Amino acid sequence: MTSAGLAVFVLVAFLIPIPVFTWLDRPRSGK
Amino acid sequence: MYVGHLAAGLALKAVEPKAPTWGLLLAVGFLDILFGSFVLLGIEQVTVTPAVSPGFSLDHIDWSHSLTMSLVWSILFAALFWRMGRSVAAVMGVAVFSHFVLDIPMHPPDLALWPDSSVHFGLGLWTSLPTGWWVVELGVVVAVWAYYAQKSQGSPAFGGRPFAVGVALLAFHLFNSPWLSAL
Repeated sequence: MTSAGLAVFVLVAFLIPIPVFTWLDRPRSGK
Repeated sequence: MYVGHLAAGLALKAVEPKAPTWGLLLAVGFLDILFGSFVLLGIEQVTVTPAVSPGFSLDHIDWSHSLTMSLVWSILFAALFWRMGRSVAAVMGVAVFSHFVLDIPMHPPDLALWPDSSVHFGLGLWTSLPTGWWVVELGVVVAVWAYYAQKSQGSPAFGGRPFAVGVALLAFHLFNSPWLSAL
């Protein structure tokens, strides 16, 4: 892996969890 | 640190439920998002070291990760959320700065006091405990997740699925383990 590849890896690693945990964190409906 | 940052963002959601979850998660990773962008732009330098833990050497990350710039980025990021209220802006700033604080135990001394300062911080668990750092971070994640899960009980604003959040945190932490990481 190159340094540019590592940079992209880090960007993806921190961007992917944002929608995942935002979705999981939502309140239960009717709560 | 990786998943420890994400867990910190979720714990801060429990502190200030009015703060948007996406904003907190962006905030806790903001210094590394800057780092990745700065490396691609040639502003910061990293060397890949496949045989040496943690798999890379952060040669110059002063513009994204120095103490002074971490404070600057925290204030600027917080300002973006000022219209949502002082407490939301404050927790966003804390979220950004938490990245610097949580990086101190893991990083070797590559966290500068300010850009090009000769003073650096970092306790170096990544290098002194080539696999043990993962267990240390797991402990942090479990403790912070327990706080989030406890605070989410009965909250109408967030945390409807604390167990699923815990499973997802563990999955991302496994993905970043010394045994499974792509680095």
